[in-house]
Amino acid sequence: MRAVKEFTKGFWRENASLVLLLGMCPTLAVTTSAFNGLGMGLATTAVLLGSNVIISLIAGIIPKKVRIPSYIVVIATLVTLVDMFMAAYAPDLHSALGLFIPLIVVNCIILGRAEAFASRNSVFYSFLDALGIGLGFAITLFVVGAIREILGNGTLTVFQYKETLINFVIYHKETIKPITVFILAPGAFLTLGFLLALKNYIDNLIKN
Amino acid sequence: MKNIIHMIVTLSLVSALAAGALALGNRATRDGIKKQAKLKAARAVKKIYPDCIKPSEKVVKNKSGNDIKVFECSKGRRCFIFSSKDDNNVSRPYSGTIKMMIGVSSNGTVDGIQIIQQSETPGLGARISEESFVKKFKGVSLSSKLKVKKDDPSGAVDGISGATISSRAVTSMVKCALEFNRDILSKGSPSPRKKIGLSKLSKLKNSAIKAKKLKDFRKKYPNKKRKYPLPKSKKEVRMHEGGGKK
Repeated sequence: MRAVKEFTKGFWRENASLVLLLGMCPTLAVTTSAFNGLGMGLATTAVLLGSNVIISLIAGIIPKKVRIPSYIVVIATLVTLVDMFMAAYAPDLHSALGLFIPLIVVNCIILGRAEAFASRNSVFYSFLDALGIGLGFAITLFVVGAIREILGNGTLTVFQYKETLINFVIYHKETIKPITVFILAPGAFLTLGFLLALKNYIDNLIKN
Repeated sequence: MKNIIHMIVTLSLVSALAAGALALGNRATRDGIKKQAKLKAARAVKKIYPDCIKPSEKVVKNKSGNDIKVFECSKGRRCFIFSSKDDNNVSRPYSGTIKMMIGVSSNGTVDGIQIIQQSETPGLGARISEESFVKKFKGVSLSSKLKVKKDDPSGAVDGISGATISSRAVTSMVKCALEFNRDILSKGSPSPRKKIGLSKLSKLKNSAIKAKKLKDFRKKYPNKKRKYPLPKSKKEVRMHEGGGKK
């Protein structure tokens, strides 16, 4: 029972971007298209899984005062390894996600989960927590990216790699002028603000 | 005291383990990454010149002293890898370095560019590597006005909206790459030498025509102070030539 709870909390109740307000940098910066958001979310999930598992294993032997530097070293090593192996053996994936990977080191979600959850819970629950939080984060980023892309560019990109581009034209730029500001930085803040308001509104509806 | 030693030891141990893991990872992936970079360059050449299968490679120094990797294809066409750090005149990219493969034909026009490496903003500047932007450089040469339309309304390049800095960087890279091609690569290679010969020939021809015109002019108007008539349009000169032969 607890396992289900730890897994599902990341999607709504403890959603990383909408409730914990962690990982704001990727939420705002890379969500210029729906696929960019999804890519960043999935890459973060992969690193979060690794870091949560390793940290829940070593948490017992690390003195409390040096835990943060130790966690950072673990996370940075993990991210660099993922980056190197991807560049060597999966160059296609690397060129699609390459830019997001170094950004993950400074993502607060990873360190936040390591400190708040993995260091105090068993490996099994830490794994589920990472999966739930990571996927919830990926879905949120996808939604933010989709809203920004539709309003700002009139398209919805679901997949993009070199020539393969799966995107839907929602409306034509010639007939309806897109709101370009949504693709730019201010649009990210606007979208996130409205999503936060919507989430709180729904929560209030459920409560009453 | 014991506590401090404990902290130091654990932190050093964690760091040492991390360093070891990284060293092993680096050793395992080093060759693979090198191979991928080579493959990427070869793929970019093939994208620009599909019939150029085994180009001969060489390394040439440019004016700023940076090594440029050049791939020679048949018929005087060549590709080379040009990065935004290779020339000081390149307008700075938004972040990091841009690396591109550029294909130039024997007469100095661009046959295509491919962005090999960039770290611009995803969704904005990163769109410089998309086909829709890259193809805008097909057919440009040093005689076209290599400026982004936003900087100069008569410029030849329509930049990406919201990514003027990145568009400007690529445009200036193309310009610098073409200058490098003209000033260094085209010197000493066989096809352009032929061209220099041709231009010399036409110069000689022109001076011969001028001398002949002057002679005719003097004959016609012996009292005029002017040394020779103003150059007429090419068509008239040609007509004049034809008339002379008859």
